[in-house]
Amino acid sequence: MSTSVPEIVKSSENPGPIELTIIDKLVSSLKPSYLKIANDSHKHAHHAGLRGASNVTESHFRIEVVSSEFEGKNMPSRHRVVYQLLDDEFKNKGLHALQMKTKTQAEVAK
Amino acid sequence: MGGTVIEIESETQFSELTNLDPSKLIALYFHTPWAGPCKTMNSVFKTLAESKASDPNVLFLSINADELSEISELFEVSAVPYFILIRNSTILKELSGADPKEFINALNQFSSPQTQAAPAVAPAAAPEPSAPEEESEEALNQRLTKLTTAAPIMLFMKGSPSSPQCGFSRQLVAILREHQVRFGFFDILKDDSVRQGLKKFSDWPTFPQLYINGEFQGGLDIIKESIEEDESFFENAIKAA
Repeated sequence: MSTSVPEIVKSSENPGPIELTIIDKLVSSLKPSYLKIANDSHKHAHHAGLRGASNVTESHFRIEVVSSEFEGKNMPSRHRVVYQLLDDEFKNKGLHALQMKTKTQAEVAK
Repeated sequence: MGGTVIEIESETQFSELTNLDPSKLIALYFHTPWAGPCKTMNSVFKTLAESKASDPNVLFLSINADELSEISELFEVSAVPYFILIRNSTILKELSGADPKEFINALNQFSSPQTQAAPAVAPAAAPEPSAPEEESEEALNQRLTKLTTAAPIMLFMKGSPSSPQCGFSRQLVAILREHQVRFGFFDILKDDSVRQGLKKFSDWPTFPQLYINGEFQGGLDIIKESIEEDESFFENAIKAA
């Protein structure tokens, strides 16, 4: 009854390496039924540009994830799950901000 | 080479100087010819540069915020005089206003050999006890506990409510004001040890961060969702002490 293949909506036809890693990590750990990712980095590029940030193209993302892994967890805990999965990206790859919507299938069905 | 203040003439010159040796401590001073306090700070900045003449690792750059508006916009300088201390492309500290002592302390804090206890070189001005050269993790955590409980609702943001330095911080301030919530705030751009320490303390890598009654609540997204689910989210959270 449940779909084993998640519905994934990428930001564009040609997502960058960080976006691909994000998708990869979230799909394998959270086994979401739905994952949508949008890249907002261009909206913030003028901040980061000359401050020496090397990553201005994949620094800010908006993601929506629907997964049963979120059941029983409050908002901060859900976001922390994602933050922990992407710790390396935050610390070493120039990922700067994530806007998140984290839901379970039951919540989405409401 | 500390010693002389370099007055920036162009963005190209600025990029060249800042990229030449990123490991240097770079002190940026934003000023305008018409702002009164800048006149005093001009000479303070010059004197400080001279006092660091023997230090090859500090660079003093002076920027006319009006003429080089692109650079001021880049660093989101909203008022002058304004100081920014940078090393390795990281902003260590930002200071707004005309308090020479604050700037001297910050300069000394960051120009002594990194992460060592009491430096061998005596600082140019006697540092205040409130600006320790080296803060232990325990002392930092104590300071963070004090900060997060400084008010029933504490917002850790980039910039200040009247001058937010990031879109997400601006939005969260707007939400708090919309709900007529009284809150305290801390500008994490002004203190790099709080900025990094709070990421560990809250187990949260981003800002803004909201604390209610000393408990971490979340960032912008979470607060938005909490309000969607419960209009009286703030009142209820404060009561649940």
